[in-house]
Amino acid sequence: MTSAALPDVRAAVQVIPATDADRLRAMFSAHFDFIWRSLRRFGLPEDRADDAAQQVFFIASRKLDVIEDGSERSFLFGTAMRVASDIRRSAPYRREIAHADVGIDLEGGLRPDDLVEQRRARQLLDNVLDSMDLELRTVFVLFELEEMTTNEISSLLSIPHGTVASRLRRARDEFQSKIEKIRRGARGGGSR
Amino acid sequence: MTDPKRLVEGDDLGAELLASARADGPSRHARERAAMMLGVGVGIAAVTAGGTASAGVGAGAGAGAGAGAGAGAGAGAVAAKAAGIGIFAKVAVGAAVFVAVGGGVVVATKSSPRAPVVVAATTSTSTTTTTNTPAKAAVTIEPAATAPVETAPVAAAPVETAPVATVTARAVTGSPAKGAVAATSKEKEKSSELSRELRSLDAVRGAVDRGDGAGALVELDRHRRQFPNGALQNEANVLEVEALLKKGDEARAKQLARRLLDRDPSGPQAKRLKTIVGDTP
Repeated sequence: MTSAALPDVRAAVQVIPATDADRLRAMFSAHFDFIWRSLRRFGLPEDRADDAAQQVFFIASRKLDVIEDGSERSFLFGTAMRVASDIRRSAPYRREIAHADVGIDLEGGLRPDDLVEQRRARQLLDNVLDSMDLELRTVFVLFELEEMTTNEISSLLSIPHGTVASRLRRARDEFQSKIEKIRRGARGGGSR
Repeated sequence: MTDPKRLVEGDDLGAELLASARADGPSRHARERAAMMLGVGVGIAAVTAGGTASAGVGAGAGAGAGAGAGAGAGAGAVAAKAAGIGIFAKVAVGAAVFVAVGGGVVVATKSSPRAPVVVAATTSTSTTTTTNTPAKAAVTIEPAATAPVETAPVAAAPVETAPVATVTARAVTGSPAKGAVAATSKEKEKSSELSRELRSLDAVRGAVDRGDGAGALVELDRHRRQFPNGALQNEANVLEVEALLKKGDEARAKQLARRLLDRDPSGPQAKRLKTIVGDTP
């Protein structure tokens, strides 16, 4: 590429008004941990969640003018869902997962004493959540782990309260059903 | 209609699995890096998982870092308020910090009473965003219920856990917050090292911001000798791209940007680097 064809990146520098910068700071402080946790619970491993959380806020920094006051959390969460989905669909990520030691399968018969181990419990939870439909999983995680009310979830996701309640009910049924399978496997003393 | 009881409140396997996620939370390092890359100067108070105790840290004048390996999953309640150069927040995960940065990497704010607000743009049309925001005279504090804190005039002296040590602010002082999580010595050491590395990169960023590309490259060379295995090598690399651009060496800048992209095509700086190499539509 000749230098003449190079884009003038220096000309693209833009100044963010101080008020926007303050707003971004506030968003970061108020929501970074929530977004990171959400990314983690959308199935990204910790190191990926680190990068993805940065990415979410980078995107927000460019869209401050279209994010309405009061809807910052909702915007960030929606962005996090998309970013997580993109990463999980990406070829490099799939290769990583394919080579990773996934450790525990849902019906694979854990020994009961293994279950007290935090790390394994977390891994198992990941596997259960991974097996759930994204819409159900989202509501489930927000309710059960973020301890949001169904009204708050309705507001965050901009969906009717009845839809939230319905998804939550289905998600809990599905979760309990998977847990029961695991429990049966554990009782069976399957190898792992 | 009332919400159902949460499963985590039960005592079965499902509850146990759900409880295992209560420790979810970004590491302090991850938060620091993100703050740095975004260019947000943040002082964050640590709160235990239950969200009941806090330790105050103001940007540039923070008390000790609330380390807090533990995170609070459910303690999503965050009472954060931006305050020019610092934010005092109640967060779910213990952490305390720091940084003012920018340009996609690190920023220099050394002698200015104004807090830098520099955001790394990742759009296809922008590279670095820089502006200054007047630092407010005091960090807004929202005392935790169990840990009243008080403000005091402050010291602009550098604090290890608060790399943005030069910002005019007020210190958050007072008796230690009840239940505040103390940083372990190992974490402090790590934080100090990172703080030094950040400050070192500040010098590079400062030169870039002044338009002194050659000077920035000299600083960068010094930085790399000082921190050959630093945690912020990616940031240093991106700064090198910027320094080369400032120096007018666009060809080398693009070459390096392309190499960095090849190495990590989906990293947080990817979009920005793509802009530089001209791959973004």
